[in-house]
Amino acid sequence: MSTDLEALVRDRTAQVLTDVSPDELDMSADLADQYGLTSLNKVLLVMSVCDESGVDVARFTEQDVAAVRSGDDLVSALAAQQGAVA
Amino acid sequence: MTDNLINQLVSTAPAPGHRLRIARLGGDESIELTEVHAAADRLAAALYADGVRPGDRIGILAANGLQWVLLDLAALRLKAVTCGFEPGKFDATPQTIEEYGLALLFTDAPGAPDTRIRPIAQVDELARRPGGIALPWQRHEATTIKFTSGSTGRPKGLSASVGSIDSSLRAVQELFEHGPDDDIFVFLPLSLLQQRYWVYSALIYGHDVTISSYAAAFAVMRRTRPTVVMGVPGFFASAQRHIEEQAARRSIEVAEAARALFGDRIRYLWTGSAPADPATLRFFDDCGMPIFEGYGLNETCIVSKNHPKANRRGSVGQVLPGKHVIIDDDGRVSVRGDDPVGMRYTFAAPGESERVFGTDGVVRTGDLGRIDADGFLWIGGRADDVIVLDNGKKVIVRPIEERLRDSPLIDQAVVFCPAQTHLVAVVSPAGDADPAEIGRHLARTNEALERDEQIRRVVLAAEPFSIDNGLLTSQYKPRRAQILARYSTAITAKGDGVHVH
Repeated sequence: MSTDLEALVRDRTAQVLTDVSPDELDMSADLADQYGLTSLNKVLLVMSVCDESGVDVARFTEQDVAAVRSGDDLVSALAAQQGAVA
Repeated sequence: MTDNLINQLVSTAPAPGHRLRIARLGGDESIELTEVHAAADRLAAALYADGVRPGDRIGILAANGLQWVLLDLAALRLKAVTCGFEPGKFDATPQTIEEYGLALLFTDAPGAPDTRIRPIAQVDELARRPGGIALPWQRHEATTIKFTSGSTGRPKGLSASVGSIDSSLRAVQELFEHGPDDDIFVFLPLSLLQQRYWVYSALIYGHDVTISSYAAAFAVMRRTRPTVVMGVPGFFASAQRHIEEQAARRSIEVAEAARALFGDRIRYLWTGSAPADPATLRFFDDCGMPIFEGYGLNETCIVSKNHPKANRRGSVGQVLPGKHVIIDDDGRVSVRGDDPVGMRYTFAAPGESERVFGTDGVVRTGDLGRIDADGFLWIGGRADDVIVLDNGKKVIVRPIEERLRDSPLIDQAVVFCPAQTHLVAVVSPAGDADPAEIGRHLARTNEALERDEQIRRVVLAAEPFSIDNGLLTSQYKPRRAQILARYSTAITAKGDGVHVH
């Protein structure tokens, strides 16, 4: 799993959540249940990390986004898309 | 046959050159409106051949998509009545068929084995069969049943008249003058009749329309470059936070960050369903994206709307032609329409229709308001028992609170929605509080509630609500704002279950 991607996801997720620092973020926690991330904000988070990691958000489907429940899930999804492009 | 806009929509092919686009995260599907019109005609004939007759009900339980649009338009052509069921709130079962008297139910959900439950994908094949049909509507006839949150957990069903749709479409077009350069972006569920208005508008007035989904909306707007976005306050508040954060992060103007999210063609933004934060309205105005707030209920359709020629921020706009707002001595708002949406609910618990509708069709909104000297309507206190989630779903908290109070352990319960993802109840105990017992009552209560209505966490008040401590009114009603202020930290804290404060 890419350290850079994890750092990016930590940083962007903490920005969206506002009340948790990147280091404190539990990457395995359910972002909706544990941190109150709404579905709308999850899409904005995915967009944001896609923009900064060079992954075209159009490579995701609605089902892909729905399947992202934790920070770890998001890192894995981004890594898979980067791998698919490479 | 063109005395009303629904008949015009049915009988007259749209002008060429405009498109319906279905925008998903992974890509778009686009179709000429002339072909949409023709495909709906063929589908209507195929449904008729399949036994659907005028007055029959066709249920649609599916995510937004082209088939949804075609079924709706086909039903209009053969005078069938659509029942738009919101995914997640209804099931594709024979019970749904029976409960709502459906002839057919089209769905994208796995359905029970029943010949009346059809995969919505079947629409593609049906719409290729040759044929056509177009029957005329009268103004008083109902084209659809729209569902709204009920006080018993089960949504209420209200039949919407042709006249109410006609008058709303005409009024909105007069205010906003949608034209050939417009592309209206819709992402809320098509089961909400007002979202389908923009398809009707595109076919009648000649403009593009883009239909997306709640999950994809933010990601596809910059690609599809709409001129108008139909949203709700929670959607625009999320957008504002994202834009501000992006502007700070990238050291750019907020207007540029706003264009990066909404695209560079926005003419205006539409918000309704719940009160918008004035700061959010000002933010988008300052970004060069005028945002217009309005007012209306399912039972009234659009009552008032700010618009480019008459906009007073904080108000919900001037009252539309054909709508009459009556404000009684206590400030309570009632609405009468020249073309009422309906005179009572088609599906509702006993007493619901009588509570909302007067015998003359006047709708008691339950909201408080006033009209200023220039005719702008100001809503001072909306019914405080409705929570509108950022996906547009409405949760009526009063019946949930009543269920919680249905225990000798609980004297009062007030429900809040601190994070748009779950509900939290502040409970005033009756006598000595036993958190474990209240936890068991909470579990039983949640079992009886719809998913969006379930209580995630109970904050057990350290002392009972009282007049003396300022948490009850002199009529012994909970003072919602004061309770929120007193327990705000506990309400917004994390964790499930029962917590004593």
